[in-house]
Amino acid sequence: MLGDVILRTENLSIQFGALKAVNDISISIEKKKFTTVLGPNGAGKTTFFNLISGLYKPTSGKVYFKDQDITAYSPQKRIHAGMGRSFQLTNVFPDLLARENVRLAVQSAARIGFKLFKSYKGYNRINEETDRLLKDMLLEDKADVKAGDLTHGEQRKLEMAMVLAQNPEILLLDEPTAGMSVEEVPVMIELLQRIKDKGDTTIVLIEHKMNMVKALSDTLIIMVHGEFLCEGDPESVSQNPEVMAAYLGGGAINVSA
Amino acid sequence: MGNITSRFPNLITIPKLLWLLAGIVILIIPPISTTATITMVSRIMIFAVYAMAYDILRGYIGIIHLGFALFIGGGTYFVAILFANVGISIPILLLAIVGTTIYSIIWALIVGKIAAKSGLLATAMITMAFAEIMRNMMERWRTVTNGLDGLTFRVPAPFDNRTFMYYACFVFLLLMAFALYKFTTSPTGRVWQAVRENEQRAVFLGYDTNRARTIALLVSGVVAGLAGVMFALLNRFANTDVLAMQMTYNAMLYSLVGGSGSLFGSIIGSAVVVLFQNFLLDLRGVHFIFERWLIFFGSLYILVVIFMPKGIMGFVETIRERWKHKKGGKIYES
Amino acid sequence: MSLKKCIVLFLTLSMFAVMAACGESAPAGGGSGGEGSPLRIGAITSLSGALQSYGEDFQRGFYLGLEYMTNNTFTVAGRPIEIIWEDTTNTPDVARERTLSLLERDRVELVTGFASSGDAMASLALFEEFRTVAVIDPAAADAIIAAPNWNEYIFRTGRTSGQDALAMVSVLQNLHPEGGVTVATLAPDSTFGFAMVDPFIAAAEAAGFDVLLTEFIPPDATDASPQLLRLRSAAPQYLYTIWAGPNSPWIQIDELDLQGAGVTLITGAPERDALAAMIPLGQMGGIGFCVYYYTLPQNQHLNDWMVRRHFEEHNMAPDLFTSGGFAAASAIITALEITGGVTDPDVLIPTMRGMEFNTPTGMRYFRYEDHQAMQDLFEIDFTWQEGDEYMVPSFRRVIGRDEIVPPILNGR
Repeated sequence: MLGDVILRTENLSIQFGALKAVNDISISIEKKKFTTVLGPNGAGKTTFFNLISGLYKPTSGKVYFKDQDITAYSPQKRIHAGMGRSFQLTNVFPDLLARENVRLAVQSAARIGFKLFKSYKGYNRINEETDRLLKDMLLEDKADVKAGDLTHGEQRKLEMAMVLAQNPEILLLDEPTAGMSVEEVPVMIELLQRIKDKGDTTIVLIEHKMNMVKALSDTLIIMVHGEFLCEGDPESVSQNPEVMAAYLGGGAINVSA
Repeated sequence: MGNITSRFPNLITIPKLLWLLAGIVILIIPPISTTATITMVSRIMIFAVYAMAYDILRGYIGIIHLGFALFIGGGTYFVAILFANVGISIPILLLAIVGTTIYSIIWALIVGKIAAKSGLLATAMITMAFAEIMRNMMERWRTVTNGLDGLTFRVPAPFDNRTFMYYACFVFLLLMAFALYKFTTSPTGRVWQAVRENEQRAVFLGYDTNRARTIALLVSGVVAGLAGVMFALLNRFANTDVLAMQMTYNAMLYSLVGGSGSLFGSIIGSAVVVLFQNFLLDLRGVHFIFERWLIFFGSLYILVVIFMPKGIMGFVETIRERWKHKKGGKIYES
Repeated sequence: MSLKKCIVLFLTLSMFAVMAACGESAPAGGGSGGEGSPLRIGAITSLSGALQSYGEDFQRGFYLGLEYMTNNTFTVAGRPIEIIWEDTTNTPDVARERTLSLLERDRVELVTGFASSGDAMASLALFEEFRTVAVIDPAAADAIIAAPNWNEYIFRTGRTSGQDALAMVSVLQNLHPEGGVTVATLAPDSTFGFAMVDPFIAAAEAAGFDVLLTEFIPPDATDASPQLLRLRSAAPQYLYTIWAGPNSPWIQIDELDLQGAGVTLITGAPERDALAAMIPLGQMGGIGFCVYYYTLPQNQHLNDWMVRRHFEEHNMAPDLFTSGGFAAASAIITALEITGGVTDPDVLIPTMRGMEFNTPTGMRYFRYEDHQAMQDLFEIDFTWQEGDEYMVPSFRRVIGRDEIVPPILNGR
């Protein structure tokens, strides 16, 4: 495998009762590359993300981040180590203003600790960074709207802003365009392209929109039934007969078209 | 006057004048009122602090603590037991305060540990059990506490002067309100709200939500315990009612009627509920229909739930929003 | 500071203003008891909450007592009587505030009432502070007449828990003058339970009885079998069972056949609502004491009158706390007739100390040392017949007031 490995799993498994939702997965994610995880519904992709980000504890196996064994790390510790995670179902603070959502993300990254006496408005650096992120996401005129009152697409953008506030080294994005309207999807794609072009962030994506996957990905990883099926660049993966069988019962994945 | 207001537009504003007026009214109540009124307003101020402490948990961090009485009850009993059995003096009062604080800290840490492992509902039920354990303990320890019949005791000077006690309660309210205001507008206070809104998101922003929760419990518990100390000084009496469910319900009622998530709401809620109850009890003499005052009291809550589900402050907020949209007019900054 | 807060502040301030204004409108006139001036009595009791029926019974009894004692004139020593009623809401801090209001705003010359001991305890110090005599009925806690709570302004017409205990012991002594009795107790694990059991144990031991077991049940428990089985195997001659409220143990006692083990049930018969739960006891039979049931007083003219009038006015028989209200009224009127309407405590207290007054259960008098009314209680059989709505106490004998003199607890 060329390039540095930033994230590595070793025989990672999790079992819920009789169901092995993720079974013995050992993969490596290359630094600063754009990797997309594909697979039919129920393949265990989100569960896999949950294991990497620390929401679930594996029943066996390990996770390595930047060559450190983070298997025992809490989610918070992983976030502060440089991970960023967005969720399949929008995960914002609905009753707080959009601005406050982002500000909380920035405050956490600033690691000021549990201060009790200074007013939260008094932290100028945090406030400026919040404004910058809102501007980047084109949400500045919605800043004083409650997050729960935003459109679905705006909430997704808000969540991206919150994730980016952490300046993560690796971005785990779980279907970021899910539920977005036709006009909003290109904005997200453009944003991901921008981040990719900047070249200092590793992106791992779960997605179903093929045009997006084709346009952005350096590598594809295919998961089926909680197991790793194959991995490679989009061209070779789309020719793989096993992949075709798993996905469409014989038909080719229209990646190259 | 005109010159001053144009030069210093922020110095004299209507909100500030009203605050000043409120302060003056509160300050001049004692000389012009009966002792019963002075005692009642003192009670309102103590309950306001109690309700604010409760709302830190309910309205800010989002914990439902069904045994919250154990904090105010602890404070009351520390004072009562020490005064009745050891002696009556200021040093002993300070000892009671220290004892209450330690007691509150211990309970806050215990509940914090439980809330970290269990869900909202389980924590709520367990806290209810805790209060019942304390209440039962005080009942059994009847040689010292007299159980439900209660303990009477004197209080040291100058707290035995009702006017002094009134002003002490006022200062207490101001101090606690200021402290809680500082806490809720601090970065930690914002994290509390985030935890309430969506704990998972807060975790995935990197926040140690268990720690945030424990801090909220410590703040809330200690403040409520101090309210208990003031309560004992005011009533010169303590019985197991102070640890009963009704006392927890009181906190819930005052903060919900006033508006959860707003410190000012808890103050308003306490005032409204106590004044309304008093108003109804006073009316007994006017017409026999008011003998069933509980019916009117209950109606108040039904009305609040139907028309003002977010409490009085929430209701006022809604009116203000509508007024703002209608007129597109000037909004006074907070 | 936002506009919303201003609006709310305004509303609150208006409320304060109204309250302060109302607080000052004390009724004119009256006060120091001049000839012909209205006599204002503050009557404060639980008129809502858990003890509401006790308070309402007291209210009815008090009015009937006044009617009888003043010959329906409602004046005493030429002074028309004005009663101001207050509701403690069964909450001690509210009770205290309302008492304060009666004493200060309404300037009552006398206070009476208190169904809940907690309410009474919270208010005791006020009577000394405002130099006003209080006649307490039926709050029964021993603590009320004990140091450091008691003060010389406090008089109680109602009985104290200590008298209940002594009555129970007296019943046993009467049955077994030779002694050698074994007893056990069963009570709820609460202040009420302890208040009944503690003095009973003390009195029983002083009488030479052997106390085998004292069992307690959590008040909300529905199953008392562990306690009952232990009692069954200990097999005391007499089991003093104390209960109030739901989940009473009578049925289980019957089921577990304690009587088969030779245990006789003894208890005190309370007010009618509780008697309704004691039907199993009436079916099993037993012996006990009763503070008041309307058929028990023998040849008591006051009781006959009260029963008749009560049926006329309220279509039902008077109950335990009704008799208490009547007794309070009687004590007050009797005292004021002696003092000529003067309520000054320097005159009233020496008058009431040791004073005898007539009540539906017979003559009572206030003990010198602690102003507790010494009074007769009744020894009864538990009976029940088809069609009875509750267990009916049946007269055996009068337990004389000199048989049940409780200890003096206020240090005098």
